[in-house]
Amino acid sequence: MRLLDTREAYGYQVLQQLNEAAGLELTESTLYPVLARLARDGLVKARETPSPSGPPRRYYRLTAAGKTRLSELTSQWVGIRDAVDHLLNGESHESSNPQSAG
Amino acid sequence: MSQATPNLPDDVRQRIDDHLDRIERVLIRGDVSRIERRSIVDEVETQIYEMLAARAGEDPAVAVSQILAGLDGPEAYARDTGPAAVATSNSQENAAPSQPHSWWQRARQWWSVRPEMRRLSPPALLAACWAGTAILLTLCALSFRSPPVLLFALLFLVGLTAPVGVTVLGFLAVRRIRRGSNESGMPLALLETFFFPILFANLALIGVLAVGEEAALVLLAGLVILAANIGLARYAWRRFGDQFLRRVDSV
Repeated sequence: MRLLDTREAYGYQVLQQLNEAAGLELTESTLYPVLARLARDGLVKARETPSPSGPPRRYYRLTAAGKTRLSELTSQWVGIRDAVDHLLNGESHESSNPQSAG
Repeated sequence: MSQATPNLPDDVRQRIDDHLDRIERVLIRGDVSRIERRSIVDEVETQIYEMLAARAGEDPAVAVSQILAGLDGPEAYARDTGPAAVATSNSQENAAPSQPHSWWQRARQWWSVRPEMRRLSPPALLAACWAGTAILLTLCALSFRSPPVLLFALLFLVGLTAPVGVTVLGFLAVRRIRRGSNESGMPLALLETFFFPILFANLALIGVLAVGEEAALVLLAGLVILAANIGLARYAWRRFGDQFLRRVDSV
């Protein structure tokens, strides 16, 4: 959703960006059903344009509802990340000072 | 499926279509809605052609083989649709390359690789066989001066039960097709549902006509029969015909 927030992209393009830029190892069987569900829920809007490669490309972009949802998910993610960081930092601090734990 | 696809040999294009069809069947078994199925399959198709375009100049058959080998298998699309769909998908997709042993396995494999046949509603098919057998037995019985007892018994069993059986099976087929169970054959199912009731209604009216003596009454009754039949046909088409048109469109 973050990738579609700033500019529209078609499915394969999103897949490439996730794999190359973000370093994730997503495959099409994971991404395309998600895109279809986002479109179903009105969080992204799709438009088709002719492609020189063959079938038309379906460009997705985030809707207003999608931007709101992205904001909520981002807040949740930041909260989870901070909590995990706190746990990891606390554990690493304790493991580096075993006597203080006792 | 696609509005503009590059010129590819038929067998290469067929391989791509087969891959897309298998994905769609997995999604259908997972109860994924038609709009989502279409979206997913179109995205995969676009990806394949994008990858092909990036390998322009190579042998398309080799390129498509390598591209398809690198993509997720159709069973991967069952991940979000529950264990039942995964199990069904795996068993059917994995069974394809192996040689079937029993006639039942052969029939299942044939059924799974012939989607256009698989879509024909089983109750409608069974009812058609039932009606056909009943008609054949009747013709056989009529061809004998003194039909054998066995033929009479068969005719009694199959023929006399056909009106009820065919009507019930036709009705079941109509219900299954209307519920979107990926089955087609609505015209056949409608014919089976209404054929015997209309036939008996007409025979009853003709019986009433036979008693009548006045020509005007006979003409009036004839018109009533005609209007009743047209009315029933129109009702059936309005009630269920849209399903048939949607099925034709989806195919």
